[in-house]
Amino acid sequence: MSMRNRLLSGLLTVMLVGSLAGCSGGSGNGNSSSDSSSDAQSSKAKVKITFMSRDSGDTPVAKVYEDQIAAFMKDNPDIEVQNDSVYEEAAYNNKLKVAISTGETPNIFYYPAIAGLTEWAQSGVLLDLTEALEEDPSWKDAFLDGALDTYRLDGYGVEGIYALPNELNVDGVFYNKELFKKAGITETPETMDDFYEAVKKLNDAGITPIGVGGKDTWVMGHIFNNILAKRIGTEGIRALGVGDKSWTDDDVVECLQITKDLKEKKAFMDGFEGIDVNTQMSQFLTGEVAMISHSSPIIPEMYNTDSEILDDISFFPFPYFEDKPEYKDTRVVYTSGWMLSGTMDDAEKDATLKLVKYMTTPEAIQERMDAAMRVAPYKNITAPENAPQIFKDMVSYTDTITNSVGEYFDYDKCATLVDVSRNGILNMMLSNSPEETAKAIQADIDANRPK
Amino acid sequence: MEKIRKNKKIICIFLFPAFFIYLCFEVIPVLMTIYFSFHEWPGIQSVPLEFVGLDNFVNLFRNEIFLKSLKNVFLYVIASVILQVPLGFALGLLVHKFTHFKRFFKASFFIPMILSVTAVALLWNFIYFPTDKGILNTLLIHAGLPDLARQWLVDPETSLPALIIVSTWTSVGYYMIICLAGLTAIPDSVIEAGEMDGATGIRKVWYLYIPMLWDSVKMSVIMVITGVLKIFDTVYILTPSGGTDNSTIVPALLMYNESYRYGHYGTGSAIATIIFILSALVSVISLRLMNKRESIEY
Amino acid sequence: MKKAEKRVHTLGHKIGFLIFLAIAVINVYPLIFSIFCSLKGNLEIFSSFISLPEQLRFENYITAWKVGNIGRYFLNTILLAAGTLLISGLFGTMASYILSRFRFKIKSGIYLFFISGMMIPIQAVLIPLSYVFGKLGIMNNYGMLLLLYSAFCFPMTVLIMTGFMNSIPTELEEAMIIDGAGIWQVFFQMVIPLSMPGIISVSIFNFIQVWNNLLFPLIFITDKEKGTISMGLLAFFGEYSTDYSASMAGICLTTIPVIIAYVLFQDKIENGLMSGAIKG
Repeated sequence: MSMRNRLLSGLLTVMLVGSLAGCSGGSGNGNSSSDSSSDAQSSKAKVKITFMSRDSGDTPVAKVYEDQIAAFMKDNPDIEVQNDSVYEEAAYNNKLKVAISTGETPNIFYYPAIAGLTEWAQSGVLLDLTEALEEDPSWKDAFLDGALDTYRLDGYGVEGIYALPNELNVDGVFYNKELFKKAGITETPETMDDFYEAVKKLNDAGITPIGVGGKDTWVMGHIFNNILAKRIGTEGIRALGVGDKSWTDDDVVECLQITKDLKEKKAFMDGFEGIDVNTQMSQFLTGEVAMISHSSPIIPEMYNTDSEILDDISFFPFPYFEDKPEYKDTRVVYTSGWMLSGTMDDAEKDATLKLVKYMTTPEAIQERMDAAMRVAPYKNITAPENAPQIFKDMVSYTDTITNSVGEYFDYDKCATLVDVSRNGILNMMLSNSPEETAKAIQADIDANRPK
Repeated sequence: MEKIRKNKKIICIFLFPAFFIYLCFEVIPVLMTIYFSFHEWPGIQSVPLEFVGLDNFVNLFRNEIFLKSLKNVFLYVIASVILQVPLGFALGLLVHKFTHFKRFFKASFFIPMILSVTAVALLWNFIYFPTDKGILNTLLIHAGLPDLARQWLVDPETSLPALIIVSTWTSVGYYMIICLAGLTAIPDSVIEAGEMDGATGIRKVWYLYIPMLWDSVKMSVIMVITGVLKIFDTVYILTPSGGTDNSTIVPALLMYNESYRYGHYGTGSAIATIIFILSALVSVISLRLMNKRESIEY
Repeated sequence: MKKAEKRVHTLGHKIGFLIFLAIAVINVYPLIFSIFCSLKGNLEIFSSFISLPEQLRFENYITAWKVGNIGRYFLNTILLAAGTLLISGLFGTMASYILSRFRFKIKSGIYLFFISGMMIPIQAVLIPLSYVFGKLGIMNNYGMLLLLYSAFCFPMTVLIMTGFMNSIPTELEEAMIIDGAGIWQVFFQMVIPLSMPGIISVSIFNFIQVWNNLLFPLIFITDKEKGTISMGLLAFFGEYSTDYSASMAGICLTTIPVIIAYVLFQDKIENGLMSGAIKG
């Protein structure tokens, strides 16, 4: 008993001291990086770095990452890489946010934001990659032209490049050729009017035109984003993000109206507001619906299923509006990137850059594309010979894109915008008017966008 | 006897381990959360906390969505207390009577509790599925009531009741188990004496069992209140965005979004603090009310 | 006891039994549903909700076992759960014994202090907790994790055990004290056996807490070999799609043994210990 008591009272002291130290850490001296640097100097032990992506488990790309990390550690016995990847979204988010709040930022990680990175960039959570890229021109040169500018935050009050583009998710409308034929649609829609015509023909043939898992609010959000891109273009979306333009402007409200009208035009099935993406995917892959709006990573996912209609599936770019020909070539492409921790000591930083460069050599990129059919923003990468036609088409379509834009909220520092706007759009599909929706979204931005 | 019952040394030795572990691993973190709630903090280690006084709280009570979440969670609590405790105890009293299949029945109520939330969510997703393919809608149509079929989780009028039913279903087993444990503590002689008095059916339950189980009833009610006020999982899985027009938004979901999605850590902590204070208030009030009815000493 | 047995055979009880059977079937249904889903293909799950599988796909179980690392994680979780039940059960019962039987000034204060822990949403304390763990460098440490789990089990343990002890008669233990038994002897030989139904109930709740807890292992375990079931099941929920078949197979693999253990052991423990203790 006394033994245990002594142990426990020792523990109490430790815990109290520990938690007080935690408090003061929160109130801001932020010493932890200097602590760890002295650790690293005192012992010439292995440098330990953590890699955290959303790819884990059984997926092809996760396996490639595992192999590449293993190979890297073999080449660099003085570096130990811990792969902390978490597949599931909420779990990943929890883990990352806790890590950043306690100063244990993973050395390499992924986060779906651009303007939303500003605060992390300003407070030193993220490493400005400009210097590292300048020092290694051949590395810098491997990225597609302009790709690196995706994460340049100069427009948001902090200079520098704060992430490396790693994957491109190219948006498109995936469709079932067989069902199109059945409905008498001979050519894929190029303009929105063609598109409405196709919707009508499909309905007449008794086929649900578009599968939408509205319960997952991003699905409607993506459709709206495409309409926005085709009507106000990249500049318009950027202006919206920095506040030079308001959501209540006529052209934005019009985009909301067009989105809502799709329901009136019977583009979606009844009850789509309560259906989730899994059901949407199943409906498409069993030939129940003719189209889904999705992006390139869905290709390997489709080929991972036992669907019998894979050969009938192809895609076409989101149609444009005849009255807005200037935005005909504005394409929606979501970039996902790797962020590097800004609180590393020199040894860690060297090791981390070494790993990132290792994983972005043309060979490494090609390996991932071969294994996992993910489109990457690098030059001289080609679709593998044995890939399905749809993926080859996607890669060559990607090559034709000259003017791309991401998600509207990527350009806005307002953190709540993603949820407020997507929920707002879904509510609009159910009942609210586009004007009310625009007003509510703008009100949220006014209240929550950091100055 | 009295001397032992007041022996300070025994009291300290027996209380110490639980008290100490609980203090270190739960109480201190909670105090830190309360401390955070008076500050603004973006959830970044190197950014200092900025003291803002009661701003976070004031802003919350001006925020319509937060007020809506309070209203929802109160409805949730009231409905859950009314449904879960009586149902759980009714089932417990019934199961207690059985001689056959007792194990099967007990186990059947154990299943919804232990099953992973993923399975539960998938199942109820299909039951509430919005088209006429949904299990509930199919049943209604076959029963000749097609007008009642609807988008259960989307329709603002049905989404909260739909969630309450799922919660009730998953947690009724808890209160059945508490009831059964309470029953085993009642000496047989007391029940037999009560039966000699000729009490039967509902009267027997009301005048004999409920008073004897009153301690169990009280703790069940506290468990429901504290559990529902912080409810997160069921809501997040079935209506991740908080429902149409925020019809199913609850404080814990808002807290999660503010802290972990928007980086408003001070606001998130303030919501947590409010949940804590509310639970304490509601628990104390309901304990007061329930203490008016004395439990039977036997 | 004998009288109650006879009553089952009256008409009213038969009807009650039937209603009850219906409710019980509704409760068992999710398990059957999960088993069905675990044998279907992914597309099949979402195209026909309640149908039987077209063909039995046992390969889902192989995937689940490998990808979710189920074997290893099952053992880890059992280990964590057993430790937590032991710590929270023993210390919690000790504290409840004092709060139920002893008299001292701040008793109700201490009781409320424990109970108030039930009101804390776990997400709310995650960041402060990881500060403490991070500063102490005690990631991946099962000992610390056990104490953490136990801390979050104490509130409910104290609530239920104190309530339970309030309802059991005190004569027997008082007689034992008068006979000269020490407090530890009284506690272990009389109080614990008499409180067993309560301890079992509370252990069931605590077990479920540990079993389904995702946040703690997610944040405090980084070593893959030390992961838990709930972490393993995450491996099926991807950025672009979810492998529901394999995830359901994983759920069945981990849930069914627990349910079997519950059925087999609960009555055994309860009956065995209760028959030892004298009922008043």
